Amino acid sequence: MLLLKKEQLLAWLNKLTQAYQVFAPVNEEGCVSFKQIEAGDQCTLDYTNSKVPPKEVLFPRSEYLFCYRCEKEHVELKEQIDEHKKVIFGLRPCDARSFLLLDNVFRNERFQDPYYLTRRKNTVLVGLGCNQPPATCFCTSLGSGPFATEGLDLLLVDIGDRYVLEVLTERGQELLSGMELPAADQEAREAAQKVKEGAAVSSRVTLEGLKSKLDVSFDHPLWDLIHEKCLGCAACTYTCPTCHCFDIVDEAQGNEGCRVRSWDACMFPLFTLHGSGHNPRPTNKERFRQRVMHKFKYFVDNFNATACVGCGRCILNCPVNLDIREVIAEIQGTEVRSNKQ
Amino acid sequence: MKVTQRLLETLGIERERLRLAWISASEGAKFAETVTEFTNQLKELGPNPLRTSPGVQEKPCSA
Amino acid sequence: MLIKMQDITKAMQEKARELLQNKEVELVIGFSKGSLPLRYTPCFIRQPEEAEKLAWGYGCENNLAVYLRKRPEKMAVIAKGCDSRSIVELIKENQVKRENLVIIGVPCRGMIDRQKLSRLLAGKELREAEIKDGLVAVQGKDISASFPLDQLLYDSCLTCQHPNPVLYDYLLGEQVPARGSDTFADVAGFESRPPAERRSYLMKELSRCIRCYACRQACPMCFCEECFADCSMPQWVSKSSLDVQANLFFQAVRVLHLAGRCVDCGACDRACPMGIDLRTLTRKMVRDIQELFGYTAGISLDEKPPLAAPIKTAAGHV
Repeated sequence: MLLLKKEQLLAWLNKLTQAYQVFAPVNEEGCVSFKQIEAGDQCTLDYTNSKVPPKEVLFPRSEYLFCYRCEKEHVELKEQIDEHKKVIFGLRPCDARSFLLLDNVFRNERFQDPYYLTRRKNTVLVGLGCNQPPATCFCTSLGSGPFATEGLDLLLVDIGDRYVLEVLTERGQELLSGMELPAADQEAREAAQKVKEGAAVSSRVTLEGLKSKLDVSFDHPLWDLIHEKCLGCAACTYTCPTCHCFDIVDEAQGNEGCRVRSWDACMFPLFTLHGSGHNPRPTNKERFRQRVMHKFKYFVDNFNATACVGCGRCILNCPVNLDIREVIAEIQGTEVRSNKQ
Repeated sequence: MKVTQRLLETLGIERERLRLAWISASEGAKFAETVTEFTNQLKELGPNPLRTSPGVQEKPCSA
Repeated sequence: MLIKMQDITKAMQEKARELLQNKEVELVIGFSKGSLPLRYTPCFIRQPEEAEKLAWGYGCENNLAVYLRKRPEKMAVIAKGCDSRSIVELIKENQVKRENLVIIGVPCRGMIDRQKLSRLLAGKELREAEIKDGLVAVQGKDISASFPLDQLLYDSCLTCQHPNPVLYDYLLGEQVPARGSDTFADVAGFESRPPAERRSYLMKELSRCIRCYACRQACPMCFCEECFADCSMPQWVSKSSLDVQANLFFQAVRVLHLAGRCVDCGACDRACPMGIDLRTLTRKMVRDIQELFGYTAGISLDEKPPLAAPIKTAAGHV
């Protein structure tokens, strides 16, 4: 554990921006998101959590996969793989955990996604512990916590005028080269410990038994009602750090164009609309069920992990206050019934 | 038309960029005249100012 | 004022219970207490004994008219001034059957803008809030403050000319006096800025757009089976939210589609998770329609909408 004075932070960030693309929380009109910064003073570390999760650094809202030009005899292709070295600075431990979950999707036995994986490989994660977790956070229910280190390379713990710096990986150590920071003394360690103990996550969900309930509740009448107030927008999925669905379209003009990948969401009717006109998820009920099932059942089936980190963004951003904690509680409260009934 | 022109203006796009003309199939000369005139007017106005506004992302292929 | 809200809540529960018990309706759409401070959430009541879930307060910010289309059953809905105006337009567009709908009108004193509050708290988290005598007392970890209610209301509520429902079967609570006339000074102010400045303001706002379409989904009048923005054959607009010009184009067409239909309820603006200013454009259209056609949407069932003519066939409306 090392010690970093707060006045040293700016110089460190400035130094990092020279060797890396640094993405840090930036406040724009009260809306905090992870943006590439040119200098350390553009970033704010006084924030609860970003509006849009830092997943967008590795898996952007929209990206060009490749561009093409059709000539008479052949097709010319230009691939757009982003190989810049990056640092995501000041992300919350829950969001760091989301990258471990996303890894399952973009790197598995069947698929390897070079766009995500190249960025992932070249990105160092510097976390910032949550001294005051908001009331909508329930990360501890999902095996994470306000100072969890899983997935991070460095973790900053704010102890007032200084940060206690936990070096977690060699890549994290590299970011500190030439800094010569002192080791954290007893007092600082104790202060960090106190901060950690004071950061209570008050909100909880019960995951125990949830998966087995969902296993048999695809046809449960609960789905008829639980989605009713949902408007069918993508505010929850686009601000979710683990949602990863996308759409690919060609944007062409004449004989040249680009293949573009953009975020897409299971809450949209067109997401599953077939070319034939048939839609296997014709109403909001099926779409809402899919979102819940994917997070708490299908992802568990596929990767043995729950696709939620308890960041609370979907709760804060839902235009109708449809609260995932209440949805989980309602499912937990249902009688188990067999699919065959 | 009027509604759309006024909207365009608020967006910072000149209302002269949108025009509606009723031309019958028998009025070939009038059609050609109108299109030529409109094309000249658009050329004079230059590219759509929104396209050159800051914040517009360059497509990698357009390089 | 808190007492009044409680009275309205009580009257609302009683009315809902009565309508369900007498089988006059199968469903009551209203609000219940939400899971966040100052927040209420839409709720759907089908049993008389569930009526006690209904509640009324300064966080009933959603336009419930959005839930009324394509429902076969007889239902009742809680409607503020703006909700009722959207209902009027939906009836005129043959999207809602008047005879299937019982409108429980509630005069509205305005709703609290949690984003405004959040800005006043400099992003610090609100944990608790209490409204008393026109003051909102807020508590958080390092905050304890009090603001006049008027300072926290949505801009759309501050310019609202129709706080009282224009169409209803029952009215709960006393009529609220309308605020002084809406001069659209904000729109005029925006239009007086140089074009380049207007462009850059809108582009900057819409650079935050993530294309979640919450604005569209929250709007009672945005009900196209397939939105032009989703259409891929042909693709009218880029699907990439990084294409700011396309984001603006989407908003421009949305506004155009709402010409003469938008009641300026502000639902789109409230729904936006990114806090983008959408009302500059929607209000511009509301004012232009008033200026050009002398029409204000959602005021009367008889007045013809200026830019839409429902076709009447032998089989009824199409």
